[in-house]
Amino acid sequence: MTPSAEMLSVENVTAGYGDATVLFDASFSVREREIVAIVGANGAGKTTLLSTIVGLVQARTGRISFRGRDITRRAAHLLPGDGLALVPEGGRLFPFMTVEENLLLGAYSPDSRTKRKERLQEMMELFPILGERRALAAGKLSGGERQMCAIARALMSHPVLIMLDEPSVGLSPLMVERVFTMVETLAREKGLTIVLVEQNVTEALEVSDRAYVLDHGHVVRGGEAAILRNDREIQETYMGL
Amino acid sequence: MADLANIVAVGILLGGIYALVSVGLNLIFGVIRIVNFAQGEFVMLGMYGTYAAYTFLRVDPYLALVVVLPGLFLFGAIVQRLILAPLRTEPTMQIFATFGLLMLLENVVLALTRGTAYSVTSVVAQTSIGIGGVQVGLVRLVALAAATGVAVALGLFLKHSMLGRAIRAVAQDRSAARLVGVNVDRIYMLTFGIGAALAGLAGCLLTPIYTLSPQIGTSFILPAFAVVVLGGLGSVLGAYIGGFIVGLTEAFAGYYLDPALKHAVLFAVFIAVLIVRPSGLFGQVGAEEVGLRDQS
Repeated sequence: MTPSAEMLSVENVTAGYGDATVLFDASFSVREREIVAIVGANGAGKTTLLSTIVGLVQARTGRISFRGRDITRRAAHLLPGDGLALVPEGGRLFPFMTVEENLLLGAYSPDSRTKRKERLQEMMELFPILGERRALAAGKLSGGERQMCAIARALMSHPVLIMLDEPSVGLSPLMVERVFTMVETLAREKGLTIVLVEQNVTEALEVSDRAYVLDHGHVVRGGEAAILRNDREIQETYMGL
Repeated sequence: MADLANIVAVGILLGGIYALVSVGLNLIFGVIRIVNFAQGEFVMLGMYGTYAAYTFLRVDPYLALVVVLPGLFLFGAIVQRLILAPLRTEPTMQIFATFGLLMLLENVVLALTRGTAYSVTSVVAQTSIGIGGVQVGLVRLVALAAATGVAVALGLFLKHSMLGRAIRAVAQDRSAARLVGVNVDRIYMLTFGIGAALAGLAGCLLTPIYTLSPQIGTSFILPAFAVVVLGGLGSVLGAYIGGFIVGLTEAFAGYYLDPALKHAVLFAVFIAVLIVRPSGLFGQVGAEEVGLRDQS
């Protein structure tokens, strides 16, 4: 794969829950080693978009492909093994299991399972705080620790693409800064491709290469983050400037 | 004093039986969040399976485990796949379905046996030993030992194996479990199968103790509900300890109050615990909310 090769592509996807349609004809793409931000207001359909990509919600129309392979109908539990990981909003850790058990479960897919011990060690080095908390129930972690643990759990499957759903929500400004720094580290040093879903538009546009704007289930804008950052309309609507 | 020792012994032995019957029920509830009303009938099937092996294959009732355990595991997995899985979006209907299964199994066995009561005997069944001046039947001691073994083994399996962790992950957050790569549908089948196999184990070990009847399942399921609520829904250790609480409560109430009142006392305690501590005495506080949380 060449450095600019397309890694994830979402084409004309419509999805929703029951009678409600949340996502309308959404299209976007992510190239290898990019950080792509998806921004938009609360209820714009950002989480639904991620859920549809990983198969927790079924796309009604459209096509999703990952590394050239159609994954539109692929079962959710097979995707970590394919190299696609999602860090859900709030982390969704297993609250009554320890930090260590949460991480071990991150390596559940068959290819990762045999390497779970080494990877656990790697994660403890990457996130020293998790090493200190390894025997603590995940439900007792602070907000920032929980987010770090959720990111580490996703990394346990050695993904090539990691998608983060509102990783900064509910965190203190200091922790927000750390989370965004971690996102940049993962992309620039570890060579991961990242999809970053955020309401914190200012920060998201600063760390990302490209971005898409989601509004009421429609992808209304897309382009270089640097350009969107200086766009008058986006500044007024999303950045409070 | 001898009376007291006797009552405690009776209570603990009864508790062992209740614990054995309840562990599978609690595992199923904890993971799949289904109250399996047919669990008592699974025990009943285990008993009839044991009787069949004893009669037709001429093997010791305990040896029938070799057939009954895998048989019930398969039966449970098939029931989950064919009856419960299609109803996965309607949890209330799943509960009605298990109730329907209860009636179905009871009536099928009633029709097959034409109401004849069966019993089996074994060398073990006629042996009793004295412990501190109290005579206890060996079959009941075996049931107690098995309940202890099952609680320990299941606890270790859930705690330390990757499959056990996956089962707990599904119990705590099934969407998150999917996201880390757990095949939730398969875990449901497996868990229901294990729960049914544990009922089969109970049935097998209880065959030398009770006279078989198609309705016997119902007499197990009511105390089992008390056990899981007292011990904590979804907790293996809770089902084990809850068994003894129920057994001892029954034994003491039966002796000091009136044998006819023992179940009334038991269920009064049951309701009181439910009000004071809905998660049970050994359940994880908050676990009930987690399980019932809206999950896509």
